Formats: sequence, C-alpha cells, structure tokens
Amino acid sequence: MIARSAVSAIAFTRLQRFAGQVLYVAAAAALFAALQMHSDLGAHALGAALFGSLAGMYFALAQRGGRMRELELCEKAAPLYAREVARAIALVPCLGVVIALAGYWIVTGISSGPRDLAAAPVFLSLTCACAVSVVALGATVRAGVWQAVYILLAGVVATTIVLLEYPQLPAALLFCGIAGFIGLRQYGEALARWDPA
Amino acid sequence: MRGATFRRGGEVLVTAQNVQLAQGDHLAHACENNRAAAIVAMMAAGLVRASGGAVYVGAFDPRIQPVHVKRLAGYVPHDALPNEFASFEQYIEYRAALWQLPQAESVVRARHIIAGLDGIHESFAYPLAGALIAQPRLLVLDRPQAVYGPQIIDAAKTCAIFSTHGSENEAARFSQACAVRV
Repeated sequence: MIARSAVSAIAFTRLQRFAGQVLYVAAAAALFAALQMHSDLGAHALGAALFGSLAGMYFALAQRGGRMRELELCEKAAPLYAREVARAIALVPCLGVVIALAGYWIVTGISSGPRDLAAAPVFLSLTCACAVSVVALGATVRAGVWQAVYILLAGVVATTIVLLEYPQLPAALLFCGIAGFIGLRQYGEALARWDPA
Repeated sequence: MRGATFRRGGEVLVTAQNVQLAQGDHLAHACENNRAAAIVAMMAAGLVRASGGAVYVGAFDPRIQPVHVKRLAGYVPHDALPNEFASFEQYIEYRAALWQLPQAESVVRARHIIAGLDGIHESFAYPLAGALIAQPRLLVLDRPQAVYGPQIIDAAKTCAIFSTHGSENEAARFSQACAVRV
C-alpha cells in the first residue's frame, strides 16, 4: 500500500523529460564559468545570478505545450488542487537551475580555488534563479501581451536582485523570497483557471 | 449538462449542450465538429469549465468542486499522444501517484484491464487503462473509434460511459458497434 506523492511524481517525471536539456545547460554554465576564470568573486556572483536567471526562464517556459502535452492532460485530469500541481511544476525549473549552477560553481571552485569562494554569492545566485523561474512560470499559463509581461517581470526581478546584491545582501534574499512566494501563488491561481481546450 | 456552452474571446466554440446520463448508462453524444466534441468531453470530465449553463457530475459542479468531479470521472483523450514513459508499468505508477492509489495494486489492475483490451492500439489502450485504474463512476471518451467499442464496454464494466463525437455519423457508428444509445 505504498502511494507515491503526487508532487514528487509530477516533478520527477517532468525532470526526467528535461534531463538532456538540464545537462546541456549545466555544461554551458560550466563553460561560462571557465571563461570567467580570471574574474573576481563579484563578477562570478553576477555572472551566476544572470546565467541562472536566464536558464530558469528557459526551463520555466518549456514547462508547457509540446512534449509536455500528455503530462499536462494527465495532471489536469487528476483530482489535485491547482496549488499542488503548481508547487510540483515549480520544482522542475528550480531543480534544473540548481543543477546548472552547481556546474558553474564547481568549475569556479576548481579554477579559482575553494578558498576564494564564499557561501553568500553561491546561495544568492541559487535563490535568485529559483525566484526568477517561478515568476516566469506565470507566462506559461497566459497568452499574448500578458505572457510578454510575465517574461519581462521575471527579467525585472533578476535585475533588481542583482542590483540589491552587493549593498544589501539580506534585502536581496528577502526580495527573492517575496518574489518567489507571490509568483508561486499567482501561478497556482492562474493554473486553476487555465483551460487545456 | 443543461445548456452548457463554451466561449473563448467572444467566439462560441460549443453551443448549448443538454445531456443527461444515468448511473451505469452509456451515451454516444454527437457534437457540431471535432473541436466541440473535444471541449464537451473535457467539460464532462471537469477539465474545462463551461462558460454558460450548468454541468453536474454526480452532485458536483466542476466550476466549484473540480477535484470531486475528477475523482468520479475518468478522461481518455482522442489524440494519439506520444507515450514517453519507459514502460507501461511506469506510466501506471505515475497515474497511481496522481490519483493517490497504491502503486502495486494499480499495476496489477492495469495489467488485468490491458489484457481485456486486446487489439486496441496502445496509444488508446494505455490512457484507457490509466483512466480505469481509479475505478471511476463515469468514463469520458473523446471521439473513440467505433471498432474499439465492444472492448471499451467490456473493460468499463458497470461504469457509465459518455463518448463525444464530431458528427452524427460517427456517433451512430460507435453506438452500433457497442449498442449504446445516441
């Protein structure tokens, strides 16, 4: 009588379909880190946050349509609340960017030496990319102008976090948390209204 | 369904639908076109909300209690969707997780169902078995092929079947193949 959690089933099934793309993006992140080999930690933090945000937006936008159609219909037909499905789908781009940024920071750690790394930029780049991914998910359940608005909003969130990063690290983290929370709630509500027709 | 309609951007995609289906009954419902048939099936399974009129599945309104409706209804899409699960068992385990069913029991039940669907192409048989593992009270089929009718009726057992079709001819063909009312 083992019933697997619906959230983990949705997240890992989607992630499995994305495994190839996640690996490509992680390889690109590692290459980008290698190109930044002679930069200081500040430049690495900025590069990781911006690369992670772009990767997160890409993973988020790929969550709807195309190869995901079969899973979408299954998820929509299942007796699940939209907020549960939203949480599960949000996990996918977040895990994707964590894997990609792990590639980035591992290469940075090897090239610069582990002593030159600090926990704060690593953590902030991860939270920034996750928050941007969650905001960008809102674009997948909208069309036309509103879709463009949500993609733009994700870009604005990434820029704001990067601008806040150095003078105010706690503020940047707080902003990530607030943007991610509001983005997830918005996505859940939009998903509840979304029609697959 | 009582006068259930579906609109998008001012365009009426589904005109008023009036359908009543008793417990365990079978009905082949003809719609204006294929798009309307797909939307009516989704409305009956609680995937899409009607823009006008009323839809009740059991005692539940999909606009207010979609989760309750989805527990009662099993939906089988028309499109031959690409099945990218490595095996049938993986697909069933995934569906069992979504419906919060015991996995091993669901796989056994699904194997039993699939054994009775001999001759049906797997792109239709898998979603049908997947829909039936949750033992729904209503099975909603989006434009099923008439040749599969008898096997579907056998597999569904006492479950009510509501199928939508793109034309009167297709509905009549399906009803002839498995002796359901149009």
